[in-house]
Amino acid sequence: MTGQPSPRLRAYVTAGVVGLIAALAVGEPSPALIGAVLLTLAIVGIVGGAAPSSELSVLDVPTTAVEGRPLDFLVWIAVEGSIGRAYVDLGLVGLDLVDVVGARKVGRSAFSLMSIGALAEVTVKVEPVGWGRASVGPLELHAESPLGMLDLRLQGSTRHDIVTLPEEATLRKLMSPIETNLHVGDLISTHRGPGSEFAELRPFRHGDDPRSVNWRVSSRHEALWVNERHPEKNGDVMLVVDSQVEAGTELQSLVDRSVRLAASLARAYSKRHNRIGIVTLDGLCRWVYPGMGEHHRRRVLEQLMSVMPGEVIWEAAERAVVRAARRPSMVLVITPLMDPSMAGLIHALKRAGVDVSVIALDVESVLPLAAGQARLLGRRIWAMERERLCDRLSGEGIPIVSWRSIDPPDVPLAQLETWRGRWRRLG
Amino acid sequence: MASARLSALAAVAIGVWLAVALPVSQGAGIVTLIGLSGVALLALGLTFGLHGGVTAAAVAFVTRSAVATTMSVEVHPPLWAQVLLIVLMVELASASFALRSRPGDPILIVARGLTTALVAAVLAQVLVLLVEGVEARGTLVSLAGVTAGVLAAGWVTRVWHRSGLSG
Repeated sequence: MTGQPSPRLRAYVTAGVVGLIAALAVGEPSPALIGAVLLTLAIVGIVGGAAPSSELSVLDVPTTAVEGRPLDFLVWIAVEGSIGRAYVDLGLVGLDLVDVVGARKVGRSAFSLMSIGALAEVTVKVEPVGWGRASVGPLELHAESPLGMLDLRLQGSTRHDIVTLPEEATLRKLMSPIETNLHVGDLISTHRGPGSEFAELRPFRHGDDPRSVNWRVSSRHEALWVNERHPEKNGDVMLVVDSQVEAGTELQSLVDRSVRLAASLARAYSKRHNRIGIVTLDGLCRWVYPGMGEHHRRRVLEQLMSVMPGEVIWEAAERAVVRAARRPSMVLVITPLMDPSMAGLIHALKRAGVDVSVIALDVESVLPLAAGQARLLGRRIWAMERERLCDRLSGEGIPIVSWRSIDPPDVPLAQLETWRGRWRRLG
Repeated sequence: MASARLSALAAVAIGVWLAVALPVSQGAGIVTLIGLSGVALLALGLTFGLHGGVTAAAVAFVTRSAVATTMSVEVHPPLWAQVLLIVLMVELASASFALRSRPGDPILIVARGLTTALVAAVLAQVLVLLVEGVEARGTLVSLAGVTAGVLAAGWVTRVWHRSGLSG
């Protein structure tokens, strides 16, 4: 802990010395009396205000948090001796101070202690504000010597970073990938193999498992027949999050919606043992190949957390998406569909034989009202062009739905599933 | 921030009151001028976050008191009240700086400032009574001068050692 002279100490000492000198100059005791009083205060303050050696640390700070869910950590202050009233600034970024146990909350990022003996432990409860990156610290402890002559200050050395994940909606209905891969999962494969879903009967062949013999049918045909089954496999789901919107406008909320939906989808598909991959399109085009497990989901979420509104370089994006989203992946594109290049990219995926579906975010609800005839006309032309893009994609058999801001995320997924089912029946 | 502003305003108000406490009609215009200069420096310091403003104001009021004693005017307000107001002004101005840079309890800070000011006023009155009882004015003033020198040197040495610059 370091002690710096406070403004009052400088004022008392300087004015005190000036008072004594002035008394000598004018030959009157009054200024000397004032000076003596001020100097006495300064001396008493300095003598009683030595800076004790101390330590300040934060314990049990989690590395991840979920938006809206409070989290606790411990602040530990050790002092050799004691100090009076102290204020600890937690240096919270992206977090709101909710409650403090063992101290008094001051403002949105600090707490105060009446006094600190040898050791003080304070439990702090904070709540993440929005998703993204948050941090605690470095902590700063401020205290004053008894008469406030010295400003005592102690700074913690570390900053604890926390990744705040978006609140994930529970999705009841999900689109299932048409093609499955080789890993065990919840999807019923179209192939034959060991599984629980009955497929068909066939005559026994050498090497068949005797447990698969259907004795009832075999007794009727006087030959051995076996049950064939569909194996339960998992699928690959590739999420493409397009965040090409103008930063600093209302359109930025579209990125927020995309990220929230993608996080919910990642969770829901992971729960069903599917492999999840992600491609984020902003200023940089980054991707994570499909994978499984909690560690992999965290990687996906961390990439989602770093999505920023930005201009996409479409040539690079197309190459990256086609490379990352290969068969048998099911690709779910979440896009505001602001750029015709996005439609081109979706076409390229379709041409490559990838099962691609599009959730187009409703942009018009977040746009400010167009003022004036010219703007109104421009807005109408833009809306028609966007509609034409949707029609073109839809005409090529690419399931595409518009997700309105008032609808829960289940709605576009159910619509996509319906769309795909209808298309399959027609086809 | 609101409490910091209030504290600064109170400090300036005390300064103004102290500066105009001695009526100019008594021929003490220079005294008032020194006091008001101190207030102006204090206000500047508080506005622009310069700690030196507090020091300058305190020095101005001590100088004002010294100049006033040389004139044939009645010392007004009495010495103990001057000390009380100077200390209170410094305390409030310092509290304003403190509240700007870190969180704090304004009530506690003001309470401490008031207590310090009262203690200083009592101490000043005790000293006045002591001085009035002693008829060795020249000796006392010289003694005070020497004490000032010793105390100032002691303080500078102490701050130097505390700052860590002395190695």
